Amino acid sequence: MMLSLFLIIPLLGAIAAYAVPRMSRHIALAAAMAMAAVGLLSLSLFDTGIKTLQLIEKIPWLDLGGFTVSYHLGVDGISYPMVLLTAFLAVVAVLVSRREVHTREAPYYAILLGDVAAIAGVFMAQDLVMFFVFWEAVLVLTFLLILLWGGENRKYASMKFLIFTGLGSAFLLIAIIMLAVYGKSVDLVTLAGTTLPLEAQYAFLALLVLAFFIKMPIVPFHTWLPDAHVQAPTAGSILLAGVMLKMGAYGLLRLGSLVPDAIAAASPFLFWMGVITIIYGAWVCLAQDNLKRLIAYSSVNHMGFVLVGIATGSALGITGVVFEMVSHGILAALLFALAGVVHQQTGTFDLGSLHGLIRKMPKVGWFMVVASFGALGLPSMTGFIAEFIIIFASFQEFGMFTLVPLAGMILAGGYFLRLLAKAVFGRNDRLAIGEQRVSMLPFGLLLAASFLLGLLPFLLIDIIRASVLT
Amino acid sequence: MIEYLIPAPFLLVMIAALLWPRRSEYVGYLGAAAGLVTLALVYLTWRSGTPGGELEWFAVAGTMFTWSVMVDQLSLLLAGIVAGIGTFIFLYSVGYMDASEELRRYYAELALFATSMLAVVMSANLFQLFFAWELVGVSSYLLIGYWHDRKTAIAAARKAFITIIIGDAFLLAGIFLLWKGYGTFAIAPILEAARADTITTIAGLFIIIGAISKSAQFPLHAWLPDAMEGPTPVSAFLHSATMVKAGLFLVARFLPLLAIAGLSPVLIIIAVITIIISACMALVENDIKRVLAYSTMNQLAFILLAFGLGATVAGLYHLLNHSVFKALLFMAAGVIIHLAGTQDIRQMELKLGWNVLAVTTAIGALALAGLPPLSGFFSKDAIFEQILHTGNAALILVFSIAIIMSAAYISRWYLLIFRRNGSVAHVHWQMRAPLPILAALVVFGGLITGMFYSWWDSSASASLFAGVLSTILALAGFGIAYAIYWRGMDINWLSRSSMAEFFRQRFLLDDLGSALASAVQGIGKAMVWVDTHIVDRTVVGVGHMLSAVGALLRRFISGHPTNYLFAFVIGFIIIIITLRFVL
Repeated sequence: MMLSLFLIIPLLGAIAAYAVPRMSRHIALAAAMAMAAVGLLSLSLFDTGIKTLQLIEKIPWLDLGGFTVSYHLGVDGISYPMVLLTAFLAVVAVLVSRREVHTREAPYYAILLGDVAAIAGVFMAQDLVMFFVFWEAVLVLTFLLILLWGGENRKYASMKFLIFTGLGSAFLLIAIIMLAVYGKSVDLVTLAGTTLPLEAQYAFLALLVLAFFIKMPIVPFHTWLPDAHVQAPTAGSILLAGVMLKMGAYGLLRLGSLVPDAIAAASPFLFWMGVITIIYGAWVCLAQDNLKRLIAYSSVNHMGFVLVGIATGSALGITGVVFEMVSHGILAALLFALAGVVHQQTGTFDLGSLHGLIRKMPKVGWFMVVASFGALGLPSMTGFIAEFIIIFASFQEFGMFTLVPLAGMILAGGYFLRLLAKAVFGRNDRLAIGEQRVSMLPFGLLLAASFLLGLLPFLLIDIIRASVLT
Repeated sequence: MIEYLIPAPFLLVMIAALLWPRRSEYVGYLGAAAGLVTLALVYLTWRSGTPGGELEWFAVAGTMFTWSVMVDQLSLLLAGIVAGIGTFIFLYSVGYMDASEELRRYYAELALFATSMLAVVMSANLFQLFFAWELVGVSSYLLIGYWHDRKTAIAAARKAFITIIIGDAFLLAGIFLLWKGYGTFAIAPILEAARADTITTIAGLFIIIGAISKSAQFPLHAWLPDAMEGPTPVSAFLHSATMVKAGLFLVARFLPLLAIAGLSPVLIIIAVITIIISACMALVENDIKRVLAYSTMNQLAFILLAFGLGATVAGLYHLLNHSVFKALLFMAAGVIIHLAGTQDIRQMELKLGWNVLAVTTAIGALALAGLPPLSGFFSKDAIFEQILHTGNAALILVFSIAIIMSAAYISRWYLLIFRRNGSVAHVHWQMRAPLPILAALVVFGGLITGMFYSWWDSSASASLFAGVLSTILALAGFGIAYAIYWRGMDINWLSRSSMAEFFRQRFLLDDLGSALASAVQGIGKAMVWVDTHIVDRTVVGVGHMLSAVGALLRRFISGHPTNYLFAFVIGFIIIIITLRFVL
């Protein structure tokens, strides 16, 4: 029953928030906190010694001509951290929405919570049909969040988001159908025991690559992301960067494990696509003048590291991937939350106009400084451990080629220091600040999480460890 | 266990500074006390004779990451310097930093630096070393940019940090290469097993690049003079006495490996170039702190040269002495700036006489010039001795000129500052107190020369010839400066020459660096254009062509969310039916 709670609580919350509009924000917060509490409680049930799935729930659901579609949930060391991250970010997303969203609150919180449930569902589903249903639900609900509560250019951005990721979904669907045809099942556990013929493996992987590269996103399929982020409400950005991009990486890991030979053969390709994404994302950041676009491209930059880790295929590399996904989930959420508050108070995302922010909003400014340090991978926060492990794994698999993603780290330093010099530090008397009181709670929560796991990485690594052993 | 606690006192100061309610000067006193406690801990660790140890931190896929401590002369020496100089710096800061509003942050950043620097020098493994190493870089960035209202300070901080990040990336690559070659992050086993092969050579080169970025050696030196934008106690602590020594520490730590890998000539070449250019730039610089910054580069290059020649102990002895006399000079410079109200040495009007400031500054300057019987003489002489031993005429010539030039630039600096009769204003006792103490250490520092060498199981090889020669050379340098800046010898022809102008332009190396940075930035701009105009359009175009879904959806661009929801439900039903039909 444990895992179902990650679906039931937000869904009930969504219904309640919609039904009682006056109380919707409180209901949403209560639901998100209940979800996070369940996450903490579930830690005691999760056995870090088990390599395979656990906390399994399986109920036959539909019978489609010999194919049994079941309600099948389960987690392992790779998906469980993502579920916990989703629950944690749900709290943050609701918290930041309280000051930002003042129109149509009831449907807003209903959709937000529904989105959270669907994302958790993607990470828990062990049945491909369920996986796909959750996957599509995330797409549509996020689309609605951007379209209805987004910025000025929300129509274009949301349509672009829908078309890009919808196209990815089409490839995913074909891949799933193909798998069902060859493997005679839609159950991931059953499928894990069957080996596909090599040609089928390659075809399947090609479809996965198209589907998940769009989602992660990997250059050149990334251009929907900055538009979506800039227009999305802050909570949408937090979920988008925090957990939704990881759905792509997670899908590649989970479904890719069904075709191990193809993945092994494609390893150099994945590596170089990751490297290109790292360098490209970082370099574009270096000349970005819009705060939210910059953070969006920094996500591209970080997802490149995730792909490099996946390409190594080693236990070390995959540990790094999960760590990086959690790390980036926390830090990107923090950066977007900060950008949201900055925009509320100043009405702009333009770096030049924000010059001298730290004088006017010292607390937010210093959070921005520390968050940038975390995102550029400085020690004692999560990013350092994640990137250290991934680069370490990459050196073992790809040797001196790893110097190229290392150069990406220098560029990352360059664009974050530019961000701080341009938008945070300095003196600017023209910068006008709104009167709203800003709550530091969501920032504090996120930063504390990043420091906790950065200083005591074994808290997370212990969860991952068993499942990445080969 | 006591060795693990060495970084702890400053860590507590950092936490205290962050939590302190108001009256922040007490944090300064607390920091000074923490320095003394750390010094005591270093002493006790040494007395206990422990070889260090390690604690498990975390393990990933069979690789263990530990928090480990290496106790040897090198780590104890560096830790002692950090703790000792740190004590004076925190005390001095109480007097110096009175005008600032965000003092808590200042002390927190300073304590963060001290903690991480201690963690660097005590590291027995490369993961922990790198972890702390990067924190040293961060604290340097924060402290250079402490006055974040000033554009110049932020630019300087950014320049310093980018240079250091470049070095960090190389160091990290070096660390992983060593792991590939030796299968461990632990330093001692790597040094024991060191062999001459390609992987070791490349790793060694990368480590050197990491080291010179922190120690401001050519060609990664340009950040150091700009770093003088930070508060003067920071310049004294980080950018002369300790942080810039981290690179030299790294070289010293890996010297056995670097020597086996045949990289000593690289160290010598870097040192020689740095010695020449830094001395030239110091001679034409007019900012009181920047002259000292160039002299730091210059003196660090002496030490690096000693390492390159295998004279490790002589180099480390100079490292110790330099930390003391340079901290003294910087703290004196802080007082001088306070009194003179300017940083331009041509406009200073201070009184030369038997006052504490003029005398202690003179002691620091003479130690830097390497005149007996001050501490700087003994260590510099030891390096000179080593160079004479090589019998390499070019090297001897360069170093002889370097001695003349270093004496000349520091004499010029001193004589310009104390040229006139000025008034004496009030200076806080916290700023005055360290000067005579440090000056005493400089005066009597030479007495421990024998002890220092025997501590390293080495012996000082001093010859009268080297001592006399280096003294004569230093006096010559002083004489030149005296003739020009005190006697008023006309050197307009020289100072207006294109050569002097070339020195003032810092050999155009800064311009080269800026050009490189602009080029990288320019490519970024071009990539943004390509990203929006080519990549985006192409992908969108291809997407539209490929996607029947897209075509379908475009009909529904009506803005009514119910339509999308409806489309989603229909699409889903179609999918279920297809599944049924196909299978």
